[in-house]
Formats: sequence, structure tokens, C-alpha cells
Amino acid sequence: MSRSSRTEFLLGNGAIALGLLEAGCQVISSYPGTPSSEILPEAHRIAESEGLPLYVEWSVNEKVALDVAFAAAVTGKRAACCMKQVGLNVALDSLMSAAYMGTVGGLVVISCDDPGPHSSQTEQDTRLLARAAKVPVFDPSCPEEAREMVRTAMEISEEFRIPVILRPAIRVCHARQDLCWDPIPPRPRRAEFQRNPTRWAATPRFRLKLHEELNGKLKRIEERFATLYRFNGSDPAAEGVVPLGIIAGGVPFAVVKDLLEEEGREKEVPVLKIGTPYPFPESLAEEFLSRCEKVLVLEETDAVMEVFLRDRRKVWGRLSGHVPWEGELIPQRIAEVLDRALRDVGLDPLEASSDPEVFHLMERLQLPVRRPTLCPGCPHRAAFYAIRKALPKAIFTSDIGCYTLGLNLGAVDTCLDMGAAITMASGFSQAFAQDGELRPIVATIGDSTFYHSGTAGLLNAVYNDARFLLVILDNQVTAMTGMQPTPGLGVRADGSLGKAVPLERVVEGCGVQFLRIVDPYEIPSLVRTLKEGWDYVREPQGGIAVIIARHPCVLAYREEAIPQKKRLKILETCKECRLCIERFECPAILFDEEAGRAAIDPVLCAGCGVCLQVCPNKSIVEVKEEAGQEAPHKG
Amino acid sequence: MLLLEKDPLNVIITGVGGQGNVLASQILGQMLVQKGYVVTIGETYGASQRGGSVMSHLRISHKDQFSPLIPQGLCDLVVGLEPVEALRVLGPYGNPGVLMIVNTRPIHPIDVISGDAQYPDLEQVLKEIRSLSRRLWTVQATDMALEMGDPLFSNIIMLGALSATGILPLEREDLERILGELFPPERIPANLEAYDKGREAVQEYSP
Repeated sequence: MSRSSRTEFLLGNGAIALGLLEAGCQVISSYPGTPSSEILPEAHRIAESEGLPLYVEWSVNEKVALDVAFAAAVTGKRAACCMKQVGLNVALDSLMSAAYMGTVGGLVVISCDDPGPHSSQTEQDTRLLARAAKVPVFDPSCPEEAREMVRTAMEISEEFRIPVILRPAIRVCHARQDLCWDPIPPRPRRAEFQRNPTRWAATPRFRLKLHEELNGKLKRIEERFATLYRFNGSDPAAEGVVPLGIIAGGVPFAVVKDLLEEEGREKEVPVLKIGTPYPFPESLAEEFLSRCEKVLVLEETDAVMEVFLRDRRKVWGRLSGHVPWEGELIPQRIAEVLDRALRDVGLDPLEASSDPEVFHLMERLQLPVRRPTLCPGCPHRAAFYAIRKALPKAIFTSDIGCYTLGLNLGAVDTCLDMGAAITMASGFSQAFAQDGELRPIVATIGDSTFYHSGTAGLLNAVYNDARFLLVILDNQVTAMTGMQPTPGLGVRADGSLGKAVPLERVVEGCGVQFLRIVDPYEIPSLVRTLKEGWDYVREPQGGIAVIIARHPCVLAYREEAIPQKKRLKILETCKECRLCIERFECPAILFDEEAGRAAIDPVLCAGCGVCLQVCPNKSIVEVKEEAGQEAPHKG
Repeated sequence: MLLLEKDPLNVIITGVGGQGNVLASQILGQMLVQKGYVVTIGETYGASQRGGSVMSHLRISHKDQFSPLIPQGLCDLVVGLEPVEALRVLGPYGNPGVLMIVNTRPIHPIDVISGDAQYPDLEQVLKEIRSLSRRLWTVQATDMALEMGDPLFSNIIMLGALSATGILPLEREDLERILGELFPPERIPANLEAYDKGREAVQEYSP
């Protein structure tokens, strides 16, 4: 059966998925994280429609994911592992060792960077970690190139028997382009395992040998990269030496190329594109450098290529103070940097510049900033409200997920990394205990984050007799990153049913003696349970109290989360105490200045009715059997 | 293929997380791809699904792919799902030639609700937008969507309104085909109705 080519308007992450399948990838593991989350589902979708054999799994964390993909590659299959950049920190232990051991089948690690940062705790540059781990890295500038690079990365990985990283930045992951592809022939490989303890279980003596082997591979890959003209190179040189050239990679390359073309200056200022920043193809760069008086390096997010350029007097970038060390290189910023470089070498500045008047007008208008908030109906809001009510003076350690927004409700004091709600609570507990003080501490962590990194911390806290309350906010989904399933319900990445591992069994397995499960929509009951828990924590024979606040996410489960939508209104008896607005902070409750009281916005209200329990003088009521309810909010 | 006023023609769809911004950009992009244009979209959402500002950049060309972000001051058309968000993008991306089509229903940021910030007067916002642009069309998209039973229709209503302005060559048949790929069949008629309503409701703004 033959089929003609197919075209789809794909997300960058879809383009990467397509490239993986075209490269014959058979195993993909991942832990969701913006901006990487769509790669695995897209790969699954395309593989299904193409009839390709593909195993996908949402692993419980990135290190687990990389180990799984690595083992698959050791069997000779082609494998990939996808994560966001901070996920690579979690997987770094695995990556460092895997680089020494090498692979049999190709192994591509996709680590998506987030300059900005838009949705991450750091702006770290995956290319630095690639260099630290001695792993080659590709840096795509657009979705189509990401697709091509991932195919080449897979070939290089297999040829040199080394894991290879693809580092797309958020602008590539979340760009959309029209991509066309021919039918992908299935090329399944059978798993094999050849015993070789000096490689797969190498002791330090053999590790030295493997390190030497790895360095040799990098040298040869660098030579290959210097001839990889599809991804590396510049347009034919102008005669003689030019005053200014640019070396760029990734999204900054795409931006600066557009900018120069827009201004008609592409012949005047040559650009050397490097799509493979490590191992750095030094010979290409040195040749380019010899044709320029000065070279401006544009790369995200750190100085990586820049430090490989030997003639420091010629190079402008972060080390010379020309390019900012933090923040995304958005077009405006690149225009500023380029404009300065052009002036400094005595060339004409850029023509296009923004209208300062518009900027001033915007400043004068002081448009209100939008900070993100928990959704109307979010069970986390109810949980945080109850926590604040039960233990207002506690230290609130929290974690990474939608519920970090609990800081708006004054119920989140810390957010360090995945799992740190528990480990920081431990640390606080021990630090205060040393002074003979038992401070109330409430840790909040989401279900997915708990599966990801919670268990080791909980086990440690129980073992070392730390004292705190742990509330696991169990909305039965990984909500922040786009509703991926968790081990709690047992639904797997391909939609099939695996074996569910309920939170309560894991918690009990960690040695916790106090465990309660409460629906956070029932605020009084949660408040009561929190107080009980705190009493247990305080007892000399007590310990850690865990409360699972279980209610499905309103976005993921809609009807299941709110089976009967309540229609609500606020009576004239409202005393303007603003508690529902300031403490509960539901976006669907506003203050109607004209009426002089709080009001419900029917557009935003999810109908959960939790606010009925919040109003101290019962002015929020349910509307029953009434035809046209008045909409208090005017638009 | 209808000749675009400019190549690339740069379009920003802006709104608040939860308004269907990303879906609107995907549908608009696909409608243009069906017509033979080359479209690159850059989405800015990150963590902002939960009530933050969301922005999609569409770069529409007869032949080339462009980088996913519109350079400063070079936006040609703004589709604003929310009035303050529409005004906001004019700071970095506006120019005197920009065309604006704006849903007039404000969504108050949480800081406005809590009294820590002010939402500017709507008439004032529209006047500022008009003074900073070549033309402004307004649509009461959220109110119309509410009448249809779900505020989520407002993004499709806005696409209908956009099609009526004639700025871009949008055709109902293309929308129908794309909706067929994205939605189950029972959801298609209501979305087409929203598109048609938007076509009728668009009005040029005159203060």
C-alpha cells in the first residue's frame, strides 16, 4: 500500500517528533515540562497514523526516563528522551555516565531551553551541560531544522556510539510551520544484549579507558561538524576583510538573519551560522574570524561558542559586555546589540527603531500587569485557603506546578526545585529543632511532583524524625504542563491502562503513620484534619502527618470535577470585607464599585460553590430555579 | 493567491490565558496555509495559561519562512481578544499603519480585582488604540459568545469578524475543513455559527 506525501501545520515539538520517527526511533521516554511536553504525544500520534512501532512512556522523572531510553539504545534500538532544561539537571547523573559508556543504537536526548524564563526556575543553557557531560549538541533555529537535526543527531549518535543532545529553545518548540513528509517505512529492530562488563559495568580502571575513548570520539565529531554544511556555514565571502561579522546559532540566528534582510544589509555583515555548538567546529570559526575585523557572537542563553574563539580582541559577546547575560534575545534586544556593534565599527546604524512616543504613552497609561492565578474552581485554591485558616503562622514550603501560584494566597513561602517542598520542610524542621523550637511547617506538593521527586525526601524525613505537615495536592493529573497522566490513576502515555500506584500506598510505604484523605472542596473538614495533623506532629511520639487533598483538576476533568455547577450570586448583605477577593482570590469574584459590593462574573465562574463556605456573613448564595440571573459584570 | 499588502504580513493575536488564543492562531494559520501562503507562528504562553497575557505572532508570506517573532515596530494587524492586551502590544510592535480588530469585553487582572491596580476606562483604551493605528474595528465578541452559551466561542467570532474586514483572504470552507480535523462533528455547526455571527457584527470604530 503506498501513500503520497502528507502535510501538516506542526508545532516545533511536532517537527521534532516527526524527525525522530523518520530516524527510526522506536522508544521515547519523557517527563513533561514546558516547553518540551508535546514531543512525546505528537510522536505517539504520528506513529499511530503511520503504523510505526513506537514505545512511549511518561516516566516518573527525567533521570528515570534517560535510564530507560539508554537501556533501549544499549539493545541496539534507536531511542530518545525528552525533557525541559531543568529536567536535564535531574538526568545529569545518568547522562554523564552514559557519555562514557556509549550506546549501540542511536540515543538522542532532547532538552528544551527556556530563555526568558517563561516557565522555569532558571535560564540555564543546555549547551553548557552538554559540554560538561562531553556530549555533542545540536541547536536548531526553526522547526524544520529541528526535524532535520534530530535525524542527523540520531545518525551521529549511532555512528560514534555516543548520546547526542538536541537543544531547541522555547521559540522553536512553540513555533508552528507547515511540514511535508513522505510515508515513513517501518524499520523495526529486535532488542539484543551483548554482555560486556568492561563497558556496561565498567569499574574506575575501565572508566579511564572509556574517558579516553570519549575524548577521541569528540575530536572526530568536531571534524565532522566542520563539514556539516547543512547546519554550519556562512554565505560566500565578500572580497577582503569586513569590519563586522556575526557568529550565531539557534533562534538568535533566525532573528538576526531576518533583521539584516529587512534592512538590506545581509551582504555587508556576513553571518556564520553554527548549528552544532559543541564540539565546536573551530576550523570553520577561525576561517570566518580571519575575514572579519570584529565578530559579534549571538547565542542563547550563556557564552558557549564565544569562549571557544581564541582571538579575544576580535570577539564581542557576553564576556565583552555587548550581549546581556540574562533574558531572552528577543528581536528588540538583538536589534539593540547589533545597532551598537555597527556604530562601534563605524558602520551605519539600523534604520528601524521604535517610536519613543509610543513607549512613553504606554508608560503613562500604566496598563495593569497580568499575573497568572489559579483557575476558577481550582481545588488547590480551596486547599490553600484551608491551610491558611488552620495554621496561619506556619512556614509554607511548596513546590513546582500550578500550585506554586498559592503564593498569591499567602500559602507558599518557598519553591526551590522538584520535591523541595518536603526536603526544605525537613531542613527547616531540623534547623529549628536544634534550637529547641517546634515551628509549624506545612509543605505542599502536587501529585505528579510527589511521584517525580517526593518519595526520597519523605523517606528521609521520616527516618530522621523531621516534624511537619505534608499536604499532597492530588488533582490526579500533571496539570501545569498540559494534563499528562500520573501513576496515580495508572493511565499511560499511549492511553492504555497500566498498573495504578496510589499515592496513599507510596506514603505508607515511606513509613508515615498519620495519613488522611480529604476533599479540599470541603473546607471545614480539611481545616479540622489539618489541625489534627498538627497535633500529631507535635506529640513526642508523633511524626510527619500527611494529608492527601484529593479533588480532580477542573480543566482536565470538567464535569467530574464539578458534577453540578452551582449558579451563585452575592446578596446586598455583602459587608465589603473583601475576604473573598483578597484571601480566596477567585478570578470570578470581582468588586462591583457601582453596587458597592462583591459580584460574581458569570463568564469566569466555574460553579464550584466553594466560595459559599468562605463568606463570613453568608452573602454568597446559590441561585435556584430562577430564570434570567442578572449578570453584575458589565462589559 | 491574493497578493498581501506586505511580505511578510505580520499578525499578532493577543489575549488572556484561557481565551483560546493559541487555538485561534492555529486555525487562522491553517486557513492561510490552505490558501497557499507560507505561515510561521510563534506562540508566547509559557506558564500564562492561568490568566496571564498570551500572544501569538503569525508571519504570513507568499514564499518564505520567517523567524517566529515579529521584530519591534513591525506588526501589521492585531487581533485583540481583550482590549488592554490589544493596546499593550502596540508599545513594542505598533506603527502608524497597523490595523486593529478588538473584542471590547475587558477581563480584569487579579491585581485590578484586588484593588492593587486600575483597569483603564474602556472608551479611553479604544481611543488610544485608534490614535495609534490606521483603522480599528470592534466586536462585542464575548457578549455574543455568552448569548451562544459559552464564552469560548469568542475567538471564532473574532476570526469571523476578521474575515469580514477583507484584510486576509479567509474562506468559510477552509474553516469548515480545519474544524473537521480539530473537533468532533457535533461541535462544528456551533463554531461555524460563531464565525458567521462575527462576520456580521464587526463595526468600524469612530469615537
